[in-house]
Amino acid sequence: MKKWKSYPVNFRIGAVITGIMLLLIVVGFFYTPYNPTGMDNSAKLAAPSLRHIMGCDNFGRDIFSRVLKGMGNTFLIALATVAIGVVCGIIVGAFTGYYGGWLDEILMRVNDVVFAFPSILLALVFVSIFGTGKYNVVLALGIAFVPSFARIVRGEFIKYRDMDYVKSARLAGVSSLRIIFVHILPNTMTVLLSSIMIGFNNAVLAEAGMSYLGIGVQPPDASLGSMLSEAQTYLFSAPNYAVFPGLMIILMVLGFSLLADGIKER
Amino acid sequence: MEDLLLEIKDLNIEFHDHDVPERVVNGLNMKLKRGEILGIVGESGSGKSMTAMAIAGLLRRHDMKIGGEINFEGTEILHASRTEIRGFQGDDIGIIFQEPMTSLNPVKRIGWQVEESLRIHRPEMSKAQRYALAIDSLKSVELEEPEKTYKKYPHELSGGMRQRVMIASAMICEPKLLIADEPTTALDVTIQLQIVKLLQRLNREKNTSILFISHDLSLVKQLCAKILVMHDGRVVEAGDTLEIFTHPKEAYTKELIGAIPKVEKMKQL
Amino acid sequence: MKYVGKKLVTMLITLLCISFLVYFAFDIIPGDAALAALGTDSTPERLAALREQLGLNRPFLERYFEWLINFVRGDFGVSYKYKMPVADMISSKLPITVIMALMSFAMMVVISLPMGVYTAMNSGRRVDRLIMVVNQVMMSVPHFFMGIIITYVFGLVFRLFTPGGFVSYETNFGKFISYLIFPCIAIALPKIAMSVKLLRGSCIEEAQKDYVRTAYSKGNNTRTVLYKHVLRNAMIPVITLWGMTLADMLVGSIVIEQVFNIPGIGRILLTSISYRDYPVVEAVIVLIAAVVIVTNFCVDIIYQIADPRISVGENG
Repeated sequence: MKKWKSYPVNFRIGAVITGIMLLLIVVGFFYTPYNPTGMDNSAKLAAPSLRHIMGCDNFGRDIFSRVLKGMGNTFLIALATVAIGVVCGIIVGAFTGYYGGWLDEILMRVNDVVFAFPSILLALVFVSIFGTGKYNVVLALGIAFVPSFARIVRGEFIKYRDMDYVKSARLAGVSSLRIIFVHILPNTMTVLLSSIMIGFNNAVLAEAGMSYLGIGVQPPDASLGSMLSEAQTYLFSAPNYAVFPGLMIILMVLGFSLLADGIKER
Repeated sequence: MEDLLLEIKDLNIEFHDHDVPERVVNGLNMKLKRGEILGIVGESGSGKSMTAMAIAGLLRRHDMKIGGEINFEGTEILHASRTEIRGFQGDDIGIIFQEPMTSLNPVKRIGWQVEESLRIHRPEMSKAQRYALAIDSLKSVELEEPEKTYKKYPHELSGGMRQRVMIASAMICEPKLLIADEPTTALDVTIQLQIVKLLQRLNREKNTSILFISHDLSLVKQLCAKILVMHDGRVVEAGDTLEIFTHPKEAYTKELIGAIPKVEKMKQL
Repeated sequence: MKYVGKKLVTMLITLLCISFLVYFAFDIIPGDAALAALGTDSTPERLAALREQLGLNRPFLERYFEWLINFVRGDFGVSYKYKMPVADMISSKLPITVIMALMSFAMMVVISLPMGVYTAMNSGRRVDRLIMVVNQVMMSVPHFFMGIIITYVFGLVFRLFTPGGFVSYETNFGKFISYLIFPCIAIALPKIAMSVKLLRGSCIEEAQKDYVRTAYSKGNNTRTVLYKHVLRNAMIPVITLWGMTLADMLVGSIVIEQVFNIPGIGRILLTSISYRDYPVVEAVIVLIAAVVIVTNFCVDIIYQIADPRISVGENG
């Protein structure tokens, strides 16, 4: 491990923010100060206080508890989305880049078609066909993310497939699958890592957008996006309702993008 | 001394971008007459390129300390204002660089780049006049089909052709001094020789003084009447090329000459 | 020219693929159009009759091509819910969304271009560092939250506009534009941050290159080196980003329309989804996708003009 001080400032700030966010998310899985769906009629739209540090929403639910749950939901959805995108992207990119030929030609055309289709639009198609819900959003966003990862991986594989060490492995009789996953794939990780982080951010933003539109996480389950949508009605009387969920989205995205920048700089 | 074009007195260049100041040129003196070709030889890091940059006015002054003087036709240009130096750049002093692949702007046409010095220094010229001069200049560097080349982009030309374009654009204002900073290092051996012959011809026809900087002694020997050997920022030895090649005084010069491959030596004899 | 032709063919194929996929996707929905149209008062007889009338008994490909030909002619079908031609529903709303996207785009270009150059020229100084920090934060704000902040600050606190208010472009074009300014700021701000960052980095990178030294050696001053040499090269990656951004803005305005209560194409899309009004959803999605694809095509062409190296790279 290198010394903490030797990392760029961006990276350090990003690491601190991301650390705090992850901590809050993990805590939120096991403990919230109040029941995030429990309503308290006496505390409707309560202002932030010692009892409710972020105040309460229009049903008297504790905003802090809901923010914790919402962050967890957003995080898991973004994670699942990126996982689908990365795994499928690696498979498509690795095979097309390594083998080339007609398979490459066809898959890359398909890739272009999906890439041309905006991710939110794809999610809307999914939702209108299969109905609303977080699993449909995850699936739609995941598919929308495949092309960009596939392109990156393909480019890397094209770069590596004719390198001498790969050629000698081939001559030594190593199977193609082994070359792809053991000899080449680990080398693409540095390039993939920063695009994974950027992808994660896009997923967080996209999920928040979907839930804001009411097609992602469904009530009464909490999500940062849907909280913002509800908060908008009470913007004048309870601005805190909008501020905290929004702030959490910003911090999550900011932390990761600072981390990604720091990785690129090094 | 009517025919003295360039005189450098006690040139010092010191880098300050690291903790410890690094002196790259140390007390350099030299003279260059009109129409003369002077070679500066030395290994990389000997300070020869820095000297070239100093003459061409291309040093980034803020992170280095510069001392001494450079007189060009009696004008001191080392400490002159940026505006004054710009008046010389491209007009009286032309320079070509080591990397022809990257020294041309990739998104501009060749003709535009060759004419650039004219647009800056001869604003009174008409478009047609500039075009005629550019075509002449491309012709003089022995590029085939100059009219076609004029419309091309750098990526459509080979390295040797790009270096010719660089020479054409450096020579278009007919400068009194052409600085060639390792102009052949990045090129094939056969093309190296062509470029050297081209420089020789331009020198004869236009009476342009040339400062030829290289680590390739055999090329320098072919082209230059006088040479200057640099090592670690200092001038080790200077004088007539023949004299130095036959009777090197310093141990370092002997070492350099000894390093020329045998075949080359035999070819020279 | 060969390059343009190749891109044109690719674009048309992509358009065809997407229209096919969308049509196919909406065709396999459990419960067909006739069922959806009749809703609860469906009897087997009426269902069969309507199926016959809508042509749902014919083979899939036949129906697809008929739909496609009608679509190209501007006939997008009839809405289940409102029983009126989809084209009539969309045609008055599409300009709102398109104008909003174009305005945001113009805002981004006008602001980010000078700012990117300025920060690049002053890189490392205090102004630059401050702008970069603000930038980094801006990039992390989702545009709909930006919209909410703007509504609160400029609408509720400073009362510069009426939140939720809107005037159609048909009644008063000037007022219409003034109502769009704040939504456009919300869309543009994160994108401005992104392109300033990219342009700044790209300028700094280009300024290190050898051709810049050549330009100085010819007697150029810093200004002419910047505008005649560096900027053209630095713009190349920025053009790619802007191309993707224009598409993003168009889709992003679907969300922003909800924040500012603007009755554009996004509103139609979302209400149609909740009513399962498939002809409308289908038409809007294909239309937006088509605009995005045509935009990408234009960007490819502009990109090729900006970077002469592209066309050769494509052929060999």
